[in-house]
Amino acid sequence: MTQGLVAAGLSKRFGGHRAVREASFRVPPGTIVGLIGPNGSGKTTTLNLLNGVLRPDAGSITVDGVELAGRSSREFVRRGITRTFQTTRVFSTVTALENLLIPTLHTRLARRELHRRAEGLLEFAGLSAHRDTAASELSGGQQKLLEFVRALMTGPNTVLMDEPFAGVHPSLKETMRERIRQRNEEGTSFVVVSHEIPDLMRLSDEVVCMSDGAVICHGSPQEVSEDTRVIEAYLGAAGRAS
Amino acid sequence: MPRSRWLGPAAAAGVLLVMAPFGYTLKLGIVTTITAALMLALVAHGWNMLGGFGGYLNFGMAVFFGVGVYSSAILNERLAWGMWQTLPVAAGLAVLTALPVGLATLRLRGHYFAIFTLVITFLAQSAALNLAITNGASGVYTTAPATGPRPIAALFYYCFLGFVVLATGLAYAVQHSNFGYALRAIREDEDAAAALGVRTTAVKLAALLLGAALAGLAGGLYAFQTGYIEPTGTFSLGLSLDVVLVCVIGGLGTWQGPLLGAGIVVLLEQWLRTLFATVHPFGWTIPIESNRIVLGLLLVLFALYAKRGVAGIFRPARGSQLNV
Ligand SMILES: Nc1ncnc2c1ncn2[C@@H]1O[C@H](COP(=O)(O)OP(=O)(O)OP(=O)(O)O)[C@@H](O)[C@H]1O
Ligand SMILES: [Mg+2]
Repeated sequence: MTQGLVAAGLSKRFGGHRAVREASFRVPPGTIVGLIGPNGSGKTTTLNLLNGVLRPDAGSITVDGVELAGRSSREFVRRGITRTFQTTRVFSTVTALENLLIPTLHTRLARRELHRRAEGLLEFAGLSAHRDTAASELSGGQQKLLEFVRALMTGPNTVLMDEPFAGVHPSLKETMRERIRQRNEEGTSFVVVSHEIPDLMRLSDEVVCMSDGAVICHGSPQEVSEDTRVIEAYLGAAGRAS
Repeated sequence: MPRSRWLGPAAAAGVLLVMAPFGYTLKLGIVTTITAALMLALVAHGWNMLGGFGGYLNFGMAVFFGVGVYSSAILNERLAWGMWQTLPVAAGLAVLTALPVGLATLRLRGHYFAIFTLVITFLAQSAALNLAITNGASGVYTTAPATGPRPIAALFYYCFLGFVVLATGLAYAVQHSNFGYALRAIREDEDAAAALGVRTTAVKLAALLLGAALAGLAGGLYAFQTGYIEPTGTFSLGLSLDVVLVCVIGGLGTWQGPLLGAGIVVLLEQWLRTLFATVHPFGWTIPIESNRIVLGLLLVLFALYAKRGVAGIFRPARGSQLNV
């Protein structure tokens, strides 16, 4: 049995467009995997496949050896995979605390314990003062942090994070990075999608680079940043854009 | 937050205390009017579970109410069951009716549910008209559980009051539970809720069934209050629309909404009825049914300009506005 989250031969089409093509990579327990690639290369689609939001057309997703491809998000959460979204999706009409409680609906823990955990995580995110604030009244960066700790409520072993640093002020960005590291040291794995390559390279243990839906490179940050295919993919994209 | 948290329930308890002697102290006509408002509030509480908290509009609440009405009436007429014996069956059969409706439509997002619920009122009407057990258009009679106008009026006043208190407590509990937060998450962004591991179909279904139970209970009581039931009056689109109006005016997804809304709608309907009966512009007689037009306009106005309803006046705005 292979430990951790393993994607093998994942493919997803939208109409005629192949958004993800036979992508394979592994997230070993306790690692931070950075996922990079130009716009439209299939990063978000891959995350959507990795937590059951989308069903792959082909390929397998296993968590500690258990096949989950085609299962619902609920099943992924139960197996310890949670996520955040590229465009922040906090529930704006409920409070910060209530946002954290929503994913715990089907857990068997007592209300008291859940509240204790939620308050602990709000503290962890520096949001204690906003416990009873409607999420819509939080700043964009605070909402990103709220989304992050919401993904921690069910005690995940792997958190998928789509652009956690986008539009976040440098100091709050530092808080976010710090918190991800802290959780990682306690054993949680991460898949972090980001366009902030230098920051992501420093944060990640391993980096996966996608281009046109395919994984073109997977290795240490050092290896990936020196890989000519990666440089080509980025420069190529930049070249096409200009 | 802690202050506003007990303010509402304290006010409600105060109102309840004032209302306690009404069954015997007020004029019969007024007791009956308040009872009508309480019944509407009970069904509206049922509607509010999925419609208000979860944002899934249900235009067929009269079906679950009507199943309750017929269940109690038939058990009373054919098997001579007493009112209290029939009530659990009335609620249970309403839930059983809601189950296939929910299973068929709540897996889907968006407007399928609303459209389907609009259709089932007519299906239920024609079923009641054509089935042998409902006695078709001839209807069913129930025996009064008390004798004399005052004891009867007081009995139903206290029965509905009691159930409204219970339903209000239930709504309060839902509003402050993970179940309620999940329903609100569904109303706002169902895909995100599902992606976070909320079993959205199950949550919506539970809210629908809970609501159907309340409507069925109300129907069971009503069967004995009214004494005679027939298909079109029981499965009426009017009631289905009234409960939507009640929740929109009172405040969607709040435990106070059905209470405030039911009071306002019943008073308004009464006032319009007397107004239309006494005012004759250019010698014309305004048809009584015109009050539907006024209430419909009110629904549109609240939906457009006062999305938080009357309950919203008492609570500071929290979060962005929701669409009805
Ligand atoms: N629901 C969808 N329907 C149709 N096409 C889609 C859908 N989601 C994504 N795509 C397409 O799939 C491709 C990959 O999109 P994806 O969002 O995964 O890219 P990305 O790597 O996350 O890009 P970005 O860095 O801009 O966020 C794009 O061409 C996009 O247009
Ligand atoms: Mg993306």
